[in-house]
Amino acid sequence: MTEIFIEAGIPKGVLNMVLGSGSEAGDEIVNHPAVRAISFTGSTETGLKLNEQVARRGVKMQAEMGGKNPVVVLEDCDMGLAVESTAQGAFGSTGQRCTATSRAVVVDKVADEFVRKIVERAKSFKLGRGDDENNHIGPSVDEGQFNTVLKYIDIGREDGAELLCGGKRASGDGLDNGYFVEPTVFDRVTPDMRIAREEIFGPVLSVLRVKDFDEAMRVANDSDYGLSSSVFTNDTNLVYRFVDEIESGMTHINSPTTGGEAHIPFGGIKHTGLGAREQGSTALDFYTELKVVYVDYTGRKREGNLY
Amino acid sequence: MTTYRSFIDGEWINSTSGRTAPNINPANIDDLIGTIELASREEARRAVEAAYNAFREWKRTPAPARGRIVSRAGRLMEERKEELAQAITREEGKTISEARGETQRAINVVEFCAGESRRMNGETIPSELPANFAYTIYEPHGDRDPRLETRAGARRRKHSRVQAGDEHAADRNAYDRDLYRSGNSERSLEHGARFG
Repeated sequence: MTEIFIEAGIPKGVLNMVLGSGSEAGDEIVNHPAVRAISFTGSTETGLKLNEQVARRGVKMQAEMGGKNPVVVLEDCDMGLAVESTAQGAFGSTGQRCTATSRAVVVDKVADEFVRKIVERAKSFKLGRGDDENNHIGPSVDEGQFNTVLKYIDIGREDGAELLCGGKRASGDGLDNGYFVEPTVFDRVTPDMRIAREEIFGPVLSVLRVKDFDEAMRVANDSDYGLSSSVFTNDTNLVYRFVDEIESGMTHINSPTTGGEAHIPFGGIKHTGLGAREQGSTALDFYTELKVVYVDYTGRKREGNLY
Repeated sequence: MTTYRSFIDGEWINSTSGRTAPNINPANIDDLIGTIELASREEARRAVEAAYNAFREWKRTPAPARGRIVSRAGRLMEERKEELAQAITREEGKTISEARGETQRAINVVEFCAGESRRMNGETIPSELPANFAYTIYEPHGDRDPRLETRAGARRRKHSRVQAGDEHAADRNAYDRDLYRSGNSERSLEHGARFG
């Protein structure tokens, strides 16, 4: 990308790319007095620490941090669509998107059907190298992330969630040399469990069963994060109640929690987002300053005190 | 095998830190794609100062002229889309279809930004007083700090590479004068590129 911008004619010094560790190169950059704005993507812990560190200098900050995005599945939904979209959101990109689905909040009436179908779908994915077009899911991005995902699967088991599929490193068929984890579904997860609260960033879905819409909203909002969310229902009244009540910066109606379009503001609330949203018109607000110019062409001294 | 280096003040630099990190294909850990040279604190500081020094000219380059560079980058990304997608797949493990989608999204962001460069409109606001009004303009965020000027200047003298840039100091002042005289965006872009 840097080569591309050089070829496009970016002047010297305007674009610099520094490859380095956060604790050295990163630390040096954020603490330099010439730096007047920081756009950060990473963990909530690092983002909030960084914000605290630079606040004294009045640095403008924008941060895109953790997420624990829920889908809410209501009884009158199109079940095929809800299952397919949840699978896409939870296991696509190996669950490594800030907008990935990690919680499915499902009303009791349809929970058995949802769970049966999502497990079936999770098992149907073919794992493997990304450059083989027949494969659906790739590996975790590195060894550290791979170990984190496996650690959370152990935590889920220990906390008493019911493991329905996956739950381990994927092996055989060319997978042994990569950081592959089987798509994993936990059922009967409760809101206090760590796998319902902490970001895993892997192909792990927690199913939380609830009795009705109101409990679904309480559970969906019972999170420190608020990036993305989805609702699956064909009841328009519930769609708009959901939109009113959900605590997230972005929400999707009958569509996966993932992604966002290039010209539309992107970001979250609660411990997910800080400062102006990335992308779209709000991105310009972050990178610019508004200057107000008062013009008086009377040629006389200003009258009155209304200013 | 590739060596990945930092790009600072218009140059690919060999880091003096002596520290490296491997770039490994997560789908096949025997596939070592390259080695990343990790920048030192001093190199990171130089990157910030390079950006700081470039800021004045870049800020004064009219937004549509800046946008033209971004737009050109978008076209180059389009031309190299498959290469970028393959690199993402090899470095991150994403499926190629996800990697192509990610690349397209990046192109879309670049296209949006290039387009916005021609729409940096403010507003005109009537006053409650006769023969008065107000208007707004959007300026690039960032400022020049005289204390930093001195510090950056002192450091600049220490670095021979940046010293060469100092020869343009006279040009730069002439540029400031010309800018307001001509108001020609094509010309100021060329000028910006010359200092670059």
